[in-house]
Amino acid sequence: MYRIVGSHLHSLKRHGSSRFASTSVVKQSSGGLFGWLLGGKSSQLPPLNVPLPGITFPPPLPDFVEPSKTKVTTLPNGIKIASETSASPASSVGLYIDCGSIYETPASSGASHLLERMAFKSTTNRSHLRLVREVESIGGNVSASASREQMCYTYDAFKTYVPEMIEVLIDSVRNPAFFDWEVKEQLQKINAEIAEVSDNPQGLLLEALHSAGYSGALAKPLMAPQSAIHRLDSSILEEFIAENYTAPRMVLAASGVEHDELVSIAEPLLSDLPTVKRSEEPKSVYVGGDYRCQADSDKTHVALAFEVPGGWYEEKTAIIVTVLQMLMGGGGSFSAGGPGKGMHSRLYLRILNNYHQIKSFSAFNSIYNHSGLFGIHATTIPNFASKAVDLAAAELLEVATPGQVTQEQLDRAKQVTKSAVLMNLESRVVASEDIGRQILTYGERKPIEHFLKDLEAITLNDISSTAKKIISSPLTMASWGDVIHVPSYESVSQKFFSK
Amino acid sequence: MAFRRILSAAVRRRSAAAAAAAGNAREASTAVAAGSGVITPDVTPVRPQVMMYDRIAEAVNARLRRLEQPDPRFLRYASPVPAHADHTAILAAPETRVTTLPNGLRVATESSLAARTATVGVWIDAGSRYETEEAAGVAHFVEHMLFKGTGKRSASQLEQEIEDIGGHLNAYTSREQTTYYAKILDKDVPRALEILADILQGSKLEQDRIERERDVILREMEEVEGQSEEVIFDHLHATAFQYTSLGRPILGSADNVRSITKKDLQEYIATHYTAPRMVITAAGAVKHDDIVKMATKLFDKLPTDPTTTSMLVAKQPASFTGSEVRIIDDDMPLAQFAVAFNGASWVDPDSIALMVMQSMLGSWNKSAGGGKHMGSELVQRAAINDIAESIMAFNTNYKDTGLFGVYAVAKPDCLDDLAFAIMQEISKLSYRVTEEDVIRARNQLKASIQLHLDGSTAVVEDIGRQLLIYGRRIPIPELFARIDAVDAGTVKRVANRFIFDQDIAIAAMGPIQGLPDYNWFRRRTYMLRY
Repeated sequence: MYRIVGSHLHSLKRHGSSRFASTSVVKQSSGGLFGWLLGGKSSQLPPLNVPLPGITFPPPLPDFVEPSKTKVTTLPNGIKIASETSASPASSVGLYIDCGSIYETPASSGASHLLERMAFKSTTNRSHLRLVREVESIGGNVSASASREQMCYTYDAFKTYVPEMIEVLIDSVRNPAFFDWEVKEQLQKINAEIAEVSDNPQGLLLEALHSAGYSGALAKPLMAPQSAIHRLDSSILEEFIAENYTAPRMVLAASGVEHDELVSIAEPLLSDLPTVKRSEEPKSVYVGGDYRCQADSDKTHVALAFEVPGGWYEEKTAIIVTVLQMLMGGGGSFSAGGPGKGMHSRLYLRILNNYHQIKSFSAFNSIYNHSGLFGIHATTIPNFASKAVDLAAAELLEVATPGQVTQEQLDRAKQVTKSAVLMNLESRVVASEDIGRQILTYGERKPIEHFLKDLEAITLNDISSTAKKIISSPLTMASWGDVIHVPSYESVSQKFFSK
Repeated sequence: MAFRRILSAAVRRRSAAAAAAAGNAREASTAVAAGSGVITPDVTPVRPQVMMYDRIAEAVNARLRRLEQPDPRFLRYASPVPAHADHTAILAAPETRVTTLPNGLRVATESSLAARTATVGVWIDAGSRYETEEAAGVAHFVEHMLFKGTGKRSASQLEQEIEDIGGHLNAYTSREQTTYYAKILDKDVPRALEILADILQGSKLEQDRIERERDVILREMEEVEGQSEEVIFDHLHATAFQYTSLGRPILGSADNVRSITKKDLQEYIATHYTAPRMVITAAGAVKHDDIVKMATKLFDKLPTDPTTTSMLVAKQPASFTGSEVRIIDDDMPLAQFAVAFNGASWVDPDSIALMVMQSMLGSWNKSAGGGKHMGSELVQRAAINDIAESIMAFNTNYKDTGLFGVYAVAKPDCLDDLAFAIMQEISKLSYRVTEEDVIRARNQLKASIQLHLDGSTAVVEDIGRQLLIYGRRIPIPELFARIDAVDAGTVKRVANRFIFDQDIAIAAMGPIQGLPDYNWFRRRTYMLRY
């Protein structure tokens, strides 16, 4: 029996090699290289440690390639197209939209989350099958993400394929078909996601802080609520898109693309988008509040937060808050990575190194156009929760007290912020995202020097006065897990008012 | 009678739909009632003019009608049929410069001076497979200890120095390589290189630090044990390369971690951290000549033992044993298993074809967008039949061998279907391969290689790894030419070499009572076709 198989294989092998020869003839006409490579047996390619002869190399790049400026074109209907070039063979294109969960109405609540999941599905021009195969055939990556104020769709691939990328990206954002079966399938997936929410207590607390701390637009959930599964359907999505995906609220941003090429390909696809005068951005008021949820967990997760006044539009404050977060730092009691993960930040030195009951303790911020949250997130064993909350409150009060933060700590935090920003911008994906989001927020891309200059100018006084301003807003508290030992809202809030 | 009622209902539905489309429902529905001549007993006084399902059907149809006239503006460029494209024009890259110092140490850099950040690192041709059995785990222990203080700086001084400049210092150990690297701002490159030189040549390995680090490593072991993917691959190596050093886990055994002595650490460093087995790499805002000059001055105390890893590997080759390990645990919610063939070594020219084959088999998990429509037939089968939570083809290379196969996670009741799909798709590579699938896989492979090189750390990693395994950095155009040389015929030939009727290694964990036995898998490495 085995012999038969063996002999079959022999004939198959011979068959294979004869087919092989015929394809190599075809290929020979397309390029001499392949003829050389495949002439006869391809197994005779040299091993990988020996260079392959006969390769044509493009001339090497010079060591110094002048970094390009960001060019922006605004089409007559108000949509902005922005790009910068790069030396890398890959490019990243993204479509950014000034839309998100803050624009949802009670009827469309959860639409942004569903839109994120419905991204790059069937459009009126191409089926989902075709779209998936188009992306696969060039080896690209597509992704979408929804946040409270911005939607982003990105496509990442070789520069050779820029026209393909732009076409597919714009088609899938502009002309989604929203078939009922596709919407249903994604709603099922969202349902499964909701069921697994307890795997991510930190994300859950962040949602809770928004819903408890704000009244108005920012209080709306980003993660679709359970009730949305049965309420949302394709017509709600269509309405939401028609209302919000309008030309003046969109930016097409790219890194690694010639600006003229980008505009010439994208303009015919975008120029007929309606110019709807943008409606007023929904307002939110920060009010503070408390959220606690007893859950089956052997840990307590608790977060304290306050409002960052002004949000991104108060640029100075936003930068100070970023530095403040680096200054306080923190992290997990056991985490991978060597020096550089913030081991000399205040929370790491003062809390994590001293209290082994605390599993994680870190400062966070979450900034929006007109407001933002800043606070501390902690995970502890349950009977230490009360002490952990006291420690978090004390830390927040400490940074707001002049003289408590040393110049050395501030310099370190500034340096860490600076290098984190510059290191992130090494990546073309991040660069493209930065272009898109900055233009959505500020209408222009501010050069990095501008940010670095503001960063350098921060003083100890700025830190303590900003921190003081932050903690003078009402407290928002959220806890999840074994919350029995979490102190009452009033008792924690009291600590901040007595000072 | 019953038949007549069904008939009349059918008639009514059809005509009602027609009426709904015509927009005049009332007339039509009365017409039906008259026409059929049957008085249905359950007629309610006020009948809805259009039934709910008619409205739904109409809405769906309206949606579908929009597809009838696709907008040609959006269909000009992209094509779902994969085609070969020539990327030569865009593949210009900064030169990779390599200098070998008198002591055998190599320095390799790629400059992009416009950047403001850089990564410098040391790549060492040493890893857990070169340990002795008694001191297994020492390679990883050394990696931990090098951050714990040198003659010049204590552990906390080291930490503070890095944190003060906003840098990152990191390290990892694999079976064949160990890496230390720092990511910093341009002006801090000399300092980072000095720190790397200091920890590699001047670490004190203090006894009390060693004791403290044992607990940290034991705790890290617990963490790794919680990551089921790591556990499966450790078991897979343990069974596939049993009785050879490649089969041991990187972290070593808990007993060894408790008993490793300072002498073991010193011996390992002295034998394996030698100049000819190291590469200093830098990318980003760095100049080659500066790095060479600094490296010559800083790395002057390294041992220059000319023993190469090829000699060590020849002395202790890894041999693949067809075998399996199964850990039944019915309390786990999901089952997972990996099936592997003996793959190619790093330099084997067929290793490129195996990469293409890995890309053909693809990888997928339940939350991925494209699922059912993806090109890989294995992924299609898993997604459409809903028989897996995630699937991933893997292709790991070592100096003298490799592992090629598929790792999957699934609910316990679909293991047999999943195992069948996996084995059929793998063995099919020896028989039926379409040119289209190969071209798609080639394009995806090329893109994933290039798209990954996003930032100086990825570049440094690429340079360091390639210099250690190939002795050179393969220029991207050459690598792409080698990938493009793989066609359907090559895939079949390589599959015949590595897959057809070859032994396999299986590692499985969880509720795996339903996973077919070893012989079942082994039998499906070939097909019987008469």
